[in-house]
Amino acid sequence: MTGEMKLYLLAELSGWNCTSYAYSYYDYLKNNKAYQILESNINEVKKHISRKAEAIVDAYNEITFQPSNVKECFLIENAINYVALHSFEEYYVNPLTINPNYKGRLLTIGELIFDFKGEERPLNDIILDESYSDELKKEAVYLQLEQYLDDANDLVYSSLENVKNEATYKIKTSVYKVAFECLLIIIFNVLYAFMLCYPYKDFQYFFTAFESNKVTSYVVLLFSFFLFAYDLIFTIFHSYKAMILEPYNYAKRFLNKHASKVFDDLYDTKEKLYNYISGAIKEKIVLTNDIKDFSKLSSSYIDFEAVLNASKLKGKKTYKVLRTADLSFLTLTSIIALLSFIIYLVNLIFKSIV
Amino acid sequence: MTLSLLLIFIFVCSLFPSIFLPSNKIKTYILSAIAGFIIIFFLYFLCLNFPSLEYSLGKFSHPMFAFLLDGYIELSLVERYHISACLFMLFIFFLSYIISYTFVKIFYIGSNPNIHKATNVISRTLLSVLFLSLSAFLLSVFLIEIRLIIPLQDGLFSKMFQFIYKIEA
Repeated sequence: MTGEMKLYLLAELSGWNCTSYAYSYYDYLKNNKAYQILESNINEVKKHISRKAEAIVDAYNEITFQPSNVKECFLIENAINYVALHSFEEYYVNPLTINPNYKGRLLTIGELIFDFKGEERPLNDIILDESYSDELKKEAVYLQLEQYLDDANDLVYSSLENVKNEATYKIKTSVYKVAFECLLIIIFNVLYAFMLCYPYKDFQYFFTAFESNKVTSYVVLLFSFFLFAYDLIFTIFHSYKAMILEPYNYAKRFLNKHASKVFDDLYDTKEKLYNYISGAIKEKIVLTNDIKDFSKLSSSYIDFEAVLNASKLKGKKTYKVLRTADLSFLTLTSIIALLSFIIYLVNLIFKSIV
Repeated sequence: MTLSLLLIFIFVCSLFPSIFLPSNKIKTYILSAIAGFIIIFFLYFLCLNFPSLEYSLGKFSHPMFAFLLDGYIELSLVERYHISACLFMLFIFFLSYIISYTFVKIFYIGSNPNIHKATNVISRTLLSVLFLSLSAFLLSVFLIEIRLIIPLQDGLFSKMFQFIYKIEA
């Protein structure tokens, strides 16, 4: 806060009306270096999965630039400074949920900020600090790791919820749609093959005798073309869909059967991390190049990111184009099939009358 | 449209899943189809070497497909029983596939697709070839064997068709 504003704050606390000075502070708050740093960091914070990251995003969203008095300017400025400071990766990155392809500034768990004796300090500093006992340090580390584990467990619960929610309404509807589509394509192909092979002269004539002056010949030709085209589009679309959704589908299969394994794996990793840091504390060794070593975001079991972002994959352009083509050919084939059936019936009735 | 063109189309349709489908899905299909494939391959091999077995199998399964085959009065009894036997083997394959698929769907999870992302090209190629063998190849052989009741000309691969199943002129 500038010296001038401190004076106005004092005046306001003494009973003077300094509201106009609060309004004029708006530009200073917006152009403040701390706020600019916060604006540039916040997008990265939003991508990270941890409670601390969520808290920073919430705090950022709560910052309002409508101070009604100088005191509020002071509070807003403090909030911006606090959130800006905590928007750096050291403050919110969780080594258990860090992206395994992370390429940021942090290289080691030792750079992460831990709460220790009422202060926020990098872990390497805590390890090298000789004024405190190892037991005190380990206790602080353990508490922080418990928070990291809670974050990771929340991730599993969110994934389970996502999978369950998809299973209860979205995917169930989608399963019925896919089942209906599969049934239609099987019916069309089986009927086509049956009518082609069945030794009934009307079927054989209808399908094999091409006469350029007859509508039926063109309808059958169109139906054959659209059916084959739909078969091709169907296989391409569903193969592509299976390819892009496989991490999600695998995670769904795994979570439905072995959710407890995932929780156990997270707990074991937390214990390994604790032992690793305890060893460093005991030997007074600075940690280096290990920031991704304990990541479980994409573990040997499941890819949590894929589970939480499955719906975004369906927004891809290729997916939309193939889906549209699939639906279009399905509609066209159905219409032509119905038309062929009607024409065949009319033909049959006409023949029986004649 | 000839039978050769139809088989090319079937191959092209099967090529896309063999390339795009993830390994877990291909393995699911292979695991479901392998039992049926072994059974019918064994039966087919026996029928090739023991024509009387094919005749007996065709005679046994003929009532199931009489509605389709009795209309073909120009076919000899041997040819009709041959087609019956092929249709019966297809039926066995589908039955076996459905049963195996049920078990595979319940018990098989697969492996994490994000691990070992640098795919072993050889193993992926082998999986695709196996998938094509159990889908396009199987269907093609079936269609060649029953082509007497398919009202399409042989086309480009007629010599190969005659080699697989000879039709007397």
